[in-house]
Amino acid sequence: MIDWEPLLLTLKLALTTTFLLMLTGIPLAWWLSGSRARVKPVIETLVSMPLVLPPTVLGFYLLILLSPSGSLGGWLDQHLGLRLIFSFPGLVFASVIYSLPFMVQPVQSGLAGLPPSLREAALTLGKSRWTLLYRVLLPNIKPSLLTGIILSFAHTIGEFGVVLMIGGSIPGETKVASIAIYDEVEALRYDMAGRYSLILFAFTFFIVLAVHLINGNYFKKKAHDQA
Amino acid sequence: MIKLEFQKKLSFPSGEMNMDIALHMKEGEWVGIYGPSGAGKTTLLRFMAGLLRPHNGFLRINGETWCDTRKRIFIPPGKRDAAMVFQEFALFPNMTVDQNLAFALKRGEDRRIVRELIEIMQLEALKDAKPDRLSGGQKQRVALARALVRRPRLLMLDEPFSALDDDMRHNLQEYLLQIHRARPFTAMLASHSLSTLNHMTRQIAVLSEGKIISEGPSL
Amino acid sequence: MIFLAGFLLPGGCVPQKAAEQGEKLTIAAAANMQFAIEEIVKSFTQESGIPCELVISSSGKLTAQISEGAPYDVFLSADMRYPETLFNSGHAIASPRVYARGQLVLWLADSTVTSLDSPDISHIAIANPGTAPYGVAAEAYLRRTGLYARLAKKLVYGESISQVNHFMHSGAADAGFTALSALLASDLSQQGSWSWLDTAAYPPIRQGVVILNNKDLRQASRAVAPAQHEARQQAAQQFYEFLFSAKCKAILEEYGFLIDNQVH
Repeated sequence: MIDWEPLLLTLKLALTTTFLLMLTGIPLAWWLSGSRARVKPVIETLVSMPLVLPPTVLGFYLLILLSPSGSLGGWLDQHLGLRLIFSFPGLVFASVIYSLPFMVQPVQSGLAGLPPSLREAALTLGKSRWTLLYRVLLPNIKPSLLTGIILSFAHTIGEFGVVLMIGGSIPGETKVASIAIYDEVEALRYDMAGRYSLILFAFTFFIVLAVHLINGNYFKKKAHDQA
Repeated sequence: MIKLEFQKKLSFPSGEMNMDIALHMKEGEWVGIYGPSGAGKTTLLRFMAGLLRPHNGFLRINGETWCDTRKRIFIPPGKRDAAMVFQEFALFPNMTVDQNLAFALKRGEDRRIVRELIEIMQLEALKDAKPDRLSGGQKQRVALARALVRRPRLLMLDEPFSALDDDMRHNLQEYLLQIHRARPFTAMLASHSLSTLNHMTRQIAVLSEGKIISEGPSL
Repeated sequence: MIFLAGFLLPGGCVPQKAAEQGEKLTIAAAANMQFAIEEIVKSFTQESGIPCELVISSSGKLTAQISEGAPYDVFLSADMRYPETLFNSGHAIASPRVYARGQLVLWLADSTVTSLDSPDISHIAIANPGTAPYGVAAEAYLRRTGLYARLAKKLVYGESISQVNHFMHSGAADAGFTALSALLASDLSQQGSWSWLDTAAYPPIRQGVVILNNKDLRQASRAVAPAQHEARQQAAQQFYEFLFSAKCKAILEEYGFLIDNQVH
């Protein structure tokens, strides 16, 4: 019988992370798309790091940072009684960093591709920057936005190396599907590992397929032909 | 009285341009900005709208300071009582004509002005269409209407008649003059068509390479 | 053989002129053997002149790899079950033989803490009981001493003894159950404090060794280089026997292993 807990935990992690990435990644992408600050290339590089760093390296540094004897971990423990190591919130924190470029880059690219006059028009009409973002910019980059959301989600589903380093494989808390598969293989229970793998594969496949279909406009009604 | 001075160095792929403008205008008048493309007409209008910060300069509308680099005053575009009709229209692709105009309304403001403008500009049939379904001339009318929703004190028009055929151009010019007679505003009209400027404006400033090379009443 | 090139880890070998003996031996050992096996191999190579490569990983991972044809020559597991599985599937030439008994110890970051129930202990690291032999022992210990119910929520699982040690070393875990052999040679022996656990309270950790027969490669290797293949099989046998020599037993004891009928 299949234990659904790791799969549900993976889903919960991916949803929470994606939601938080929308709140943090979109404003960051917005700033990057319009900034000419000298520090911009540095920020862009930092944002890209999770793309190129081996996940275990990221996990390694997070372990050092977040453990109670570490700088951030110690502060959190002392002042907020919060331990991010071996906990679901810790995984969320790590996943947000891990999947950050998957939200920021498509959105930044989409926003940079919008004509500057759209922004200028909205500003001259007396709208605040947030109204501009919410009512003008984001609605006009729907494909990029969708790509960002879906890729962040799918990427978090597949997260392994980081979780392995800082999760502690606690059932119901940090034992996500990718870790469960790994454990099943090590325990030589290949058929169970195969079942989990198939479910994850199918789920991720259909999600990414959805991105391609939406971006390729296969769902859009051909409004141009009706006049 | 509107007084302005503005200096800024701009870099373009084709080279650099030093903007150096000084201008006086009467409030409530139509002022024409004439010059070839690349002369700096759009840049000047953008300065007026608050979309451009000068290196040095000031802009005072009847004693009200909208920009003064020496006193470090800069009122952002949203807070100026000004509107701009962009050369490329800048209609919001995700909104219908009606929504584009309604977007310009202040919070809680009555939709009446939107309905009036749609009527005046003959946009009723198109009001639920999105910009990608409109012709150039139709988009131009929407852009103009949207700028007028706020009944701005200062209206900047950047080549507003370029996409229109003769009939439509004539009609639109008449509408503008009509609205202006009913409730005057100051308008700055940038165009490379001297005939348009002579028809619409009282005063013309000629721009070349970022500087006003001549100025005077129109014909 | 080209296959060896992919499975390299820093091993404590003195590289000898491999041409003389034919090939290097690849020794696969469980994580808790990491430090002991380096010394054993060094001693073996000095004595026999046979160079070796070491592959250190968790018993479970190594077993999985060997099942899929990884070209190791000898496998030293942390238990009997994994090598038994390999024998049953035909990957080992004989049933596993116990080469040492491991000892489970408890390590505490703060030596002033007297009990695992203390609120100062938030996380206790153990190896995954589903896959790691020392994890099985740790969980058994906790259950037999009646501590499991109270401490279960503090447990965090490392995927191997190596990760358990990493959690303790980095300060992420305040306490942990680990292998004495892995603790003694690492930095952990210099921090915190550790104590033996009553061996009656956990099932004996009997670590087994098997010689692998590389059956998937045998046909190919025999055809290509029959003499070299023979030499490797013989070298593997030599290493296997070395494990039970007095010299090797001394090394194992030094690293905290128990040999056969010995008690501490």
